[in-house]
Amino acid sequence: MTAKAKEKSDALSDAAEAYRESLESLETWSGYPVKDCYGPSDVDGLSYDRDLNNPGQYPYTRGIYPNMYRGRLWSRRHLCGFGSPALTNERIRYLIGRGDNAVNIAFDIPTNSSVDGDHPLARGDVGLQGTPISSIEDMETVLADIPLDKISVNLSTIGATMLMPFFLVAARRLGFDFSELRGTILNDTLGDPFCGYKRSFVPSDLALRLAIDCVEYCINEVPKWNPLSVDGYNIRENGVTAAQEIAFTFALAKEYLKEGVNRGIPIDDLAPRITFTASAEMDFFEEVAKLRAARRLWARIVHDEFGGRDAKALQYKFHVHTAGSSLTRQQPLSNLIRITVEAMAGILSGTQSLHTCSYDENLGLPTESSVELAVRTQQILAFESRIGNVADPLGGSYYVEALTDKIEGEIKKLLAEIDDIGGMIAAQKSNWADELINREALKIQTQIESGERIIVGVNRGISEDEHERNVPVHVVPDGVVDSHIGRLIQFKGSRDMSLLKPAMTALRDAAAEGAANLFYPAIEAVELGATLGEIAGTIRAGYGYSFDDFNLVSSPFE
Amino acid sequence: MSERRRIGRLKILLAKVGFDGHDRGVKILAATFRDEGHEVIYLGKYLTVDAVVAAAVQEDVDVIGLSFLGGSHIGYCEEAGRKMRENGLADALLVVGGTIPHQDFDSLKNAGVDAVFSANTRLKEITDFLDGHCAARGSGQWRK
Repeated sequence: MTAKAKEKSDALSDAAEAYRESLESLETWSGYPVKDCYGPSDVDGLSYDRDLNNPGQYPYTRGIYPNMYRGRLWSRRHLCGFGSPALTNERIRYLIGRGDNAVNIAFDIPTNSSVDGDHPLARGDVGLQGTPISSIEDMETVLADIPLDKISVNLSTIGATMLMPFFLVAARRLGFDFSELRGTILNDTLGDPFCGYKRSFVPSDLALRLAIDCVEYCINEVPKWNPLSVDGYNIRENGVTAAQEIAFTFALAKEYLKEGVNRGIPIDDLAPRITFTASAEMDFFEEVAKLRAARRLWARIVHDEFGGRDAKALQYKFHVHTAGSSLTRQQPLSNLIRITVEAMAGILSGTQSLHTCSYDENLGLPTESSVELAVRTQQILAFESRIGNVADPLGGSYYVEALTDKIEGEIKKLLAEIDDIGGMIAAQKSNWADELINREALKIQTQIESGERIIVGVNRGISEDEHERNVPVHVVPDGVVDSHIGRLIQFKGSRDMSLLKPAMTALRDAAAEGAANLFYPAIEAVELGATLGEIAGTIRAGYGYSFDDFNLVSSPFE
Repeated sequence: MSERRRIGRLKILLAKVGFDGHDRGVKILAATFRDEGHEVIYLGKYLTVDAVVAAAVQEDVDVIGLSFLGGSHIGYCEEAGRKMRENGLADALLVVGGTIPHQDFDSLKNAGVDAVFSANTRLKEITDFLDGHCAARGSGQWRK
């Protein structure tokens, strides 16, 4: 056979092989075996009234509103932040101009760690992974020209609770009343160790206090604001299963509820203010089942364990973030398909809010055109596909109901295990949580290596001309970060220390005192020019820790 | 584990510098290199370049592996390359992994980085690279 003929024959035999191809991954993403087909016997134990019920009715398995998106569409909000507050504001306004109807601000890691941009160790990370916010001026810049009474804002920070006072003061200076502000701060301080920042600036006792200070303050002063969103997304991104994601999330949420109730906040006031952030991974049906199971189980937990009775207290309200870790560097345009599948899972689960990733996120910072596509993806799903026209359209599918039940059972088992350890804080301290995460992450990578877990572009459908397909990534212009830090140093020099010092002493005393809500003195201090790092450091100092976690900066107020 | 019997092995120091704590990848590499028979020191995260280089000198490592997700790789690698040379570590490999745009590869090479493995690289590609390094060093690091 000539070389050419042989090539042709090989190609044909590959095609014949492909013709006989059958599915290989006959388990869910999380590893549950599934059957050929599901039927009535698989949902035998389910009672419609008890376990499903209509959308808008306890236990809310089918959604929290009777008509879901016919009443209000999910919020389209794309995580946004890089370089400087001014560049971030420009990108936010671009996204709104392109069709986003909500804002989602990402902060750089020093900010997420409650460290100022001029900290000696921060320079290398300032303006990456998010916008730097250290001063009230920074917050005013990032929010400029955004109608905060009409558009809801997500402050996407897990650990930097004290960004909230900056948001409030900036909003007031921009002409808005606290009662008009709508949005969310993640403020999931106990979940900080699970996310990529993984550097909590405070130990867990203080973390819990700060989280609930924020909740309590918002219950009293900022009525439309969601002051705590327990973040399963970052937990899932570590590589854990769908059930583990929700179990960890709920175990964290229970710690917050217990702390709030201990402070005397009635559960029916407290629980409605706690929302959730979830991931949507690639196994479409499993993700739908996961989120439906989460909705049912959360209603039961708040009802049975905490005595919640108000409908709003029992409703699992959530934001979906499509899974960044499911994206591939190889053949980046293929990520658009992944994002679409994941977004559909979020929508068909009845999410209240959605972030769709940009297809180039595995390569670097998304460009304007890639984030525009992320907005368009949601608009196409919302307005062309009509998948949102009917509430819980997958409800009643034998498979979806059986899987929902299965995952609810798995979450309950894990929650019982965590309860036995003594709750999520204890599970973190004993390394139980970390060990589980490490084990799961390694398992997934091993499956990818062996080909058992197929990722197109990585271990299947590999293209030889990969390097020619590299797409441009967004580059922060030179000098932006340095001039931002320069402005911060100038700002710090311009403050009236005779006014600021007593305010910081009051904050420190309140932190030391134990029972006071730190938001009141923190807001005073922000008004007088205190920076995020200074506020966090002063609270730390009041609690008996060093002002700076790294022991490189000392308090300017002592 | 390959069928080759190892009579020598590499001493590999893995670390994350700066504030970025995304460590899913670097922990997987630590476990993989360990299972391959190398001696692995995972120094942890939130480190300065100085701390990493000091540990590398003290431990006399063959390879320093730095992991990045947040885009801070160029500055930190320039610093690491310079400080490795200043501290007599010119012979050690500097290897970088994570979310690294292709357009940064040349800058990293100029900074003294010997290899870059971006997100979604198969582990085998990385372990093959290390095997190749062993072979290139001669001295019977590997034997069939």
